[in-house]
Amino acid sequence: MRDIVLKKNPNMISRLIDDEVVLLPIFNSSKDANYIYTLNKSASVVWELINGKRSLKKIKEELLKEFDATDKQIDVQIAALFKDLKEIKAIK
Amino acid sequence: MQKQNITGFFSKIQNARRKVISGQIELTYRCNLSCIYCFCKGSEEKNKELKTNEWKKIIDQIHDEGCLQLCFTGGEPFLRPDFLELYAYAKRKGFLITIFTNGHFFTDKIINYLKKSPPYVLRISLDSLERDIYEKITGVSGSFDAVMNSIKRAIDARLTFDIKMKCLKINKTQLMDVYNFTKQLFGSESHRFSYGFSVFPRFNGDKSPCKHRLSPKELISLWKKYDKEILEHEKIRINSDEYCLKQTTDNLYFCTSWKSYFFINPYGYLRFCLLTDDFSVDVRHIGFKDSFHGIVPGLINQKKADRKSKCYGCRIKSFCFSCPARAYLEKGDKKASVEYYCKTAREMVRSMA
Repeated sequence: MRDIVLKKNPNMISRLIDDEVVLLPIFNSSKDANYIYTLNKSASVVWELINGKRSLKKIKEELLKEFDATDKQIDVQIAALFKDLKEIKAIK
Repeated sequence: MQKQNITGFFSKIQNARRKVISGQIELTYRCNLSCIYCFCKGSEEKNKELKTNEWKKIIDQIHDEGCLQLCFTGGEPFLRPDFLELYAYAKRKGFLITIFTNGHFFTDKIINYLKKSPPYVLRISLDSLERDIYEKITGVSGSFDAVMNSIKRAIDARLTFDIKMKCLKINKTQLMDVYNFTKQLFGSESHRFSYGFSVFPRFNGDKSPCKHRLSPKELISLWKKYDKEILEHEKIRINSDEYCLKQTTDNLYFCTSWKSYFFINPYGYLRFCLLTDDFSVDVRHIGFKDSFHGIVPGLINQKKADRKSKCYGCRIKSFCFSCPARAYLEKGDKKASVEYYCKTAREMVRSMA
């Protein structure tokens, strides 16, 4: 996995609603206006770690400390999450 | 990550614990129309309306309490020159926004903005497709062409919206026409049309809107004809003794929407119900958190129902649309029974016998 630094899109607002992190885009298409995006616990941790300064490698290190998971499992989780986040333009 | 339908998300977070989920802010009671059924008409006081910064402060406080959905309404909210500024501000705080409008103000600027940053719901009132009827309702000559042109601009720009119709004596024959018009616009998305029949006296005491509402017989016949689903739902309710028992709580205000919903009027007063200013609190002075969590529930729980009243324990109460707020508007007495609602409930029961 390439070591890159990811930045959150300032037009994607995150809020903690009822103990769940919810992503709400400010700009989206009308057809998507009926949807929001929710993050599970590990995805919420990753979201918090993305700050425009921390590298992907650093994020992975933090996750390995926080969760009882193997290197490979973390890689798979991160790759899937980043794909989703990029798709909805939550990160750049 | 999960993409979730907003309605589903709301059902998930709504539970017994009292918390702010949704609210309505009435930016102004002013309107360019003068609808015969409007209950705000006569309460407009432009000079007393909150300023942009006062609204922003309140929006901040509502946000801090975890509220997710905010409805911008009026009067006609687009009459405020700062509407888009407040809308953009609330969007940037992460609110899901609903807008209730008469649809007259879809300028290019507004359409382009809402297209780029769409509300969760944009609901336009359209009470008839007949010029004469529409203008008899709005009281403004030329308003029909104005709204249809405005709607056309929105359609051409592919802005998505809902249509809501208020069913009155004067436009009851228009119900299917407006429904079909919505279907033509949005195809199978039938949820984009809704209609209501509730008409109340005005906040200023003027009871003239009531003469335009459907009689109980008209209302039930309209339901029978067009809305089988509602009647089927009510049938389930009458067969359930348990449901009826739940209706008789000791609180005067037995409705529970105040547990998660709030209303703030153009002058900054928080209310637990759209129709009453009973227990209203000046949010600018008390703050949203203390108003919502402290003062309002305390007062609601103190006010008890009159066990001897006609309504308390009424066997068909679960079919009745009356409540203390509506009774007060009709009779000036929160504990009074309102003949119109009694008749409607009886008519509903009879229709299902």
